[in-house]
Amino acid sequence: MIKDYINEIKEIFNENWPRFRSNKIGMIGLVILIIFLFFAMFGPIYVKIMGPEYLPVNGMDLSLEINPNTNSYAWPPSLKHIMGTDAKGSDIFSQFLNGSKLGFIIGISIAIGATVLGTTFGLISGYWGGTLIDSCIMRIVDIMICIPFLPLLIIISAVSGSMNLITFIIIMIMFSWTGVCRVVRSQTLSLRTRLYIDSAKATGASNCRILFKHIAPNVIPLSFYEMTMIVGAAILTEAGLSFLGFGDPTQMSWGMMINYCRAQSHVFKSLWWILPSGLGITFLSMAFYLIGRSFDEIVNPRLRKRK
Amino acid sequence: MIHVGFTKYITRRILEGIISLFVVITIIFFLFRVMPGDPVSMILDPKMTPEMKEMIRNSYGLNEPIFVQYGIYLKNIITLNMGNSFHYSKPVFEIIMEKLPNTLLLFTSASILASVLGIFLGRIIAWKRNSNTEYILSVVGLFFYNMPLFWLGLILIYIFSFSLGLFPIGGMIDYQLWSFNPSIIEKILDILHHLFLPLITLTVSSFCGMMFLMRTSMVETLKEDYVIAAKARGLPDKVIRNKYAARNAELPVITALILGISGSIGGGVLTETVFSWPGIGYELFRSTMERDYPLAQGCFFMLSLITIVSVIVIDVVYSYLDPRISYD
Repeated sequence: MIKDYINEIKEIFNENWPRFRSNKIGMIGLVILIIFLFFAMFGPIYVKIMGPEYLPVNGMDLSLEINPNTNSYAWPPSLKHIMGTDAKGSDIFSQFLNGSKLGFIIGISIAIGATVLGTTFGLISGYWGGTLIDSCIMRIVDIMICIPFLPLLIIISAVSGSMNLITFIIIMIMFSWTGVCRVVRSQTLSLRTRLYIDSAKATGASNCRILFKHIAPNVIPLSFYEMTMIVGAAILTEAGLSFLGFGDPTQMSWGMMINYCRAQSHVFKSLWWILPSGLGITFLSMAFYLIGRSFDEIVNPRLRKRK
Repeated sequence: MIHVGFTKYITRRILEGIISLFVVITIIFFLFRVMPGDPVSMILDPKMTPEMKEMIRNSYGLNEPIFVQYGIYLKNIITLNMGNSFHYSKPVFEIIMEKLPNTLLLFTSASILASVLGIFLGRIIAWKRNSNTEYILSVVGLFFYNMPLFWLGLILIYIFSFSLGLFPIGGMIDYQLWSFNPSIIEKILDILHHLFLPLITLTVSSFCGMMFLMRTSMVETLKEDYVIAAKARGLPDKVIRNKYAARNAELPVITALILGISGSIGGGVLTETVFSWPGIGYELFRSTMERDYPLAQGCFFMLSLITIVSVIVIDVVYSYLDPRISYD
């Protein structure tokens, strides 16, 4: 079965790659994504080359003197520190690279988890549409939509001391699957009335087989689109939570960088500290968004541009 | 237009809302009790005398089994008795009621502005597909949409408040001005002056979602027969776009608003924090930072209530606007 899915994905890829390549917006997204992927991989190498003073979390350059303009070890960009240093003399470029690694880890793991969960529930809910299990799942979705989850995350991390990255990812997965579920459900509802499903039933295929062999491949493009949307949202939520000071203090994410900058009231004094992380968040989540949008235009014929 | 099904539908939606609220308060209850350590230490002010602690312990029923505690907790919430804030030494409910109008002012004005702007621009880019206008608006919109709004807020403060000195750095009123007993117009102008930057932050970062929804919906509406018929009749483009297509395209956008509410409440919390806007979101942040748990619980409860009420209101408005919807 997994082989089928791989083939399915390969087929989608072969069929759509030429279309994707001619899509300007999608290509911009892909280029940005590759640049950030490079940043993420380069992070550990950079630290290895430059030495332990360049560690993103607790490394600091002891040779620095106090900068009279900022009253701290925060120095503007120089040859030694391409993006400057923060208040305790830590290298911002190294933090930035580490942030892009964390952005990928957070965004992609949450997106995959939430998409798998949402697609499964959506398929079940749609295939058995109108039954008790369907209305149970949909009521749960309705309830989840009503819970403001950033405040909930704030409360959870406040009560539990501080939230580590794994807990954050698990909670985010639990709250991000509802959108995918809705979309997949409505698609499944319409797919299950198709003739080929009837013929599969007539030949004696089991529900499980119909669901995963005949219906699931048709909702994969939709799920993929939703997945790229979740990546951006997840990165932004993590940044927001870290910004408020409820993130994982052992990880130097982009949001954490902005949080430290603000907590030490350096926003007005050292723009070089606050700019890279904010732009990093913006461009990385935008890259996923652009890819998702152009992908949607490709798989959704109604949106396809007329030539 | 209103028939029996409609009232029934509203009743069902409100019931569902109450269930959601019930789930939320249950989550809060267990969160504060499942955590390791003595829950009393979280609810009690360390400065209190032992007698007072014992009194509060009893009023929360903390010496009783957990189910009794849960019952007492529910009773307290329903009677709006959410305890006292340590920081303000005032009932939580009173503080929340004080802050609620500020949050609603920011939240509703930003939602309305973002929707109007998004629908307006979405209409344009759907009409001019494949043009440079579409391309530029999409990229600019997406850029701001994916920008962390707290960061955008900080940058706006840096530019407009710190460098140019045009707007205040934060807060909602200028205390110095208000102490001189100004006229009502001066007061309103002062609030608007403070409101401007947070409002722009929220609007700029959220209009794009509406714009794309409107675009997709409009592109589909433009293919409908009645639009083609209108074109065939030789009606001017502007009439077709604004009177024929846009009216119907706006409907699905309204439902999509619902999915975004939870996110915009989160955005509201961040914006209020960045601009020290004295609303419920800022209060939630401050109270959790200061370990003022009764107030934090109260703020979270209120934010959930706002979310639920807005979901129901949008849903009901939508079903009223679109006669094609069925109520079962």
